[in-house]
Amino acid sequence: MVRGEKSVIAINSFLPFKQKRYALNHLHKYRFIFISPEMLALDEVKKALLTCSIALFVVDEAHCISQWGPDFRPDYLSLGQIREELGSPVTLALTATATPKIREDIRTALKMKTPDEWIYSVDRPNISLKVETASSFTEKVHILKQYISTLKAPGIVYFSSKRLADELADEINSALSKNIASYHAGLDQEQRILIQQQFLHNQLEWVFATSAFGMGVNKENIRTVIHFHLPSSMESFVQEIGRAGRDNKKSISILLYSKGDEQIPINLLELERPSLRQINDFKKWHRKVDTPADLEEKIGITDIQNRVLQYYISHERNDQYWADTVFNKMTDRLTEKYVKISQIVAYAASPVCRRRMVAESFYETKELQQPQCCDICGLHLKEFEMDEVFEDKENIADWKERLALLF
Amino acid sequence: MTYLDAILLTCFRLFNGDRSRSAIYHLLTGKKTSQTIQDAHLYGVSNLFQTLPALSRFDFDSSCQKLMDDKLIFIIENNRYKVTSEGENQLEAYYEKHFFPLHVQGWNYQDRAMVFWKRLSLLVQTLSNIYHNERYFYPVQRDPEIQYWVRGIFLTWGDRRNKKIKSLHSELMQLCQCSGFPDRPDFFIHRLSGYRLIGMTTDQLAKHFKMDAAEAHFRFLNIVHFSINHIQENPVSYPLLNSVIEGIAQEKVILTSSTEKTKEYVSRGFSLSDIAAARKLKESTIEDHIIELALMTPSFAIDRYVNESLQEMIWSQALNLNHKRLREIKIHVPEASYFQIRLVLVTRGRGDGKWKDYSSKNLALNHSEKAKGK
Ligand SMILES: [Zn+2]
Repeated sequence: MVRGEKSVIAINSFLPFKQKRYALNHLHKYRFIFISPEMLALDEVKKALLTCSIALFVVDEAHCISQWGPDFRPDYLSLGQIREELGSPVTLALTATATPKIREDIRTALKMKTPDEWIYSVDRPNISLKVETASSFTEKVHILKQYISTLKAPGIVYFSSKRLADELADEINSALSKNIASYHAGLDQEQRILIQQQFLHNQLEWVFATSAFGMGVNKENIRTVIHFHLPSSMESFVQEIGRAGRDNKKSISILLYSKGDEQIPINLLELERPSLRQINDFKKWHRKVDTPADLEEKIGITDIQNRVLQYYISHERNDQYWADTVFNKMTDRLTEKYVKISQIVAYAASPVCRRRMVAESFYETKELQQPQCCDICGLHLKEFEMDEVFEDKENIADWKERLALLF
Repeated sequence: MTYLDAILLTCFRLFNGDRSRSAIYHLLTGKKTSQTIQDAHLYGVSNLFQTLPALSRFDFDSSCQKLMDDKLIFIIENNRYKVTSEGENQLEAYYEKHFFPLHVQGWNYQDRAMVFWKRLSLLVQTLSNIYHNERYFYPVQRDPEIQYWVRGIFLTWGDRRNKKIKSLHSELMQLCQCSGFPDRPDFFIHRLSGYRLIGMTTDQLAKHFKMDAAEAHFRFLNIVHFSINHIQENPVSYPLLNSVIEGIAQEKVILTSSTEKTKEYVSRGFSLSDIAAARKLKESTIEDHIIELALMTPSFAIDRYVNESLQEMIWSQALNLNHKRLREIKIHVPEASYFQIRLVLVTRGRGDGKWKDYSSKNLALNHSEKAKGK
């Protein structure tokens, strides 16, 4: 929390036991309570909440109710039930990705009958759209280098592989002497915060990141967002390019595409669904191990698969057909995700205005053509190129100077 | 050879084929099981305990594979490896050119060192921002316990804050310039954040000083561990820094939960076999618990499990053999059980420092002094 309001409490699993108990006993003293759906599922927490009257029930990142995959949070699905128990207070659901399908899922899950819906267009007129096709991986790297040396920073380059983000950040760093850092879930929390903050304070020009980067980062002057790989859906693409140009100044999104790139997200998808045997193993073992990690190791599933299966074991009738039911449901999800990937491939290969492609995948139809719209309608890169050369920042002070700068 | 390779090679050398390579992984990531804790002490590698908590199994395995491919280690059986003579030579040569983390005490400081670092870095960031009249900033530490601590110390300071800024600056200057300071302070100071100046990451420091990230990490740990020790020995010279450490050192030791239960039975006077029967566990499991207890509680008396004369016999054999293979000690002291031998080895090491001397013969400690300045 950077600004203002004092009577705020965040109840999460990091809160030390004593403070948590104090907070739960004095909940009515706070004006704002920030709480994770996982915490809301706990009885003691629910009981404490029932002692105060909730005037406004806000669900942030509400698409987590609907989207499966890394974003999926099974406990979001219980929010409707909790909302009713709290006496159905006025509810506000917020998301940056509100397709009709997601909106419907949110309404159903939160048990809202006829909510007012405020849908803003996904179109961001100040972000120009470009797709660049490369014939090989090497060519892609070459193009990326070119852009990093000419286009305006600050910028983000998204990768679907941690290793590649690391390696290319290293390589291009030394080749171009730019300030580039890589950011992904493999780094410990402190390093992640430092990189985020360096970027925010303009100590870094570029961040090479996996999709983990950007949530909760409110940086206004990001000029360029490049996708080195295909994102997994139009929703995540729009979220990621939407981090550019929050100051409303001209910015650009560039997607680098080679034929067959869609194999990466498709392979990831295949890995996402556990096999029928694993689902059966889950049923057999899930109560017999100490920690989720032990279970994941024992039956060879990922943490995401584990979370999904945990949800099904408590919400789907646990009879002899359980494993088959779950397997079929997961197959349906998989099919939906294939569709999402094909949408983004269609965007990359589009013969028509890219802005229109984006809008249409969110069922918007208004006329969007504009100057500097996209590479199909016509686009001059000159406007997005650096006009000043950054000075060489290689000289970091010695430790005494550094300490003096801090104090 | 990378720095990680060298650390792994050091571990392989000290375990000397007695333990699987997983034991090394668990040691470095600090897995708190009886087995890992015992191994750390039995083989004199407790200094490295939990020094790489974020090491991925993948990176660990590929580093091991590389050591094998380069014929620096060889497999003896079942995932157990020994160092080849080429490995010995290369390791020695490596530490002549690279920094040896002499002051790292993984077992003694464990995550407490990180609590110290987190408190200090958030304190510096907060003071620095206040000094520049900036009231709003993103804390570099998100751990609520750390934030509560910083908030608490600010409350007790009241309007003496501005004075504290000056004292913290001068105490840090004094610390980094003290005569025993083990390294260039950059690895520590450059990681601090403040007003519009965000600290550098391990990777960035490594790149800047042209070394690999593991080395930058160990040089940072080495400084932090040295500092905690130095400040605690000179509390009067570092009143403020000492208050950052306060309360961390005394934190209760954390036993694995199963050991905690065994502890209750022990204190009620149950014998080893009675505990095993009461808890429906194998005796060997209870033995592991007792060894863990002996390690974690300095006052724990082992006399009820090994009489004093047997203790002496085991220990003198261990020193004689210059070797920690339980089997060989057992040959020379046949009347002792393996449990009794382990118990003596780990507690002697803990108590009088003899164990450290003994194990340091296996470490290339002398080289570290030469490598210090580099
Ligand atoms: Zn267009």
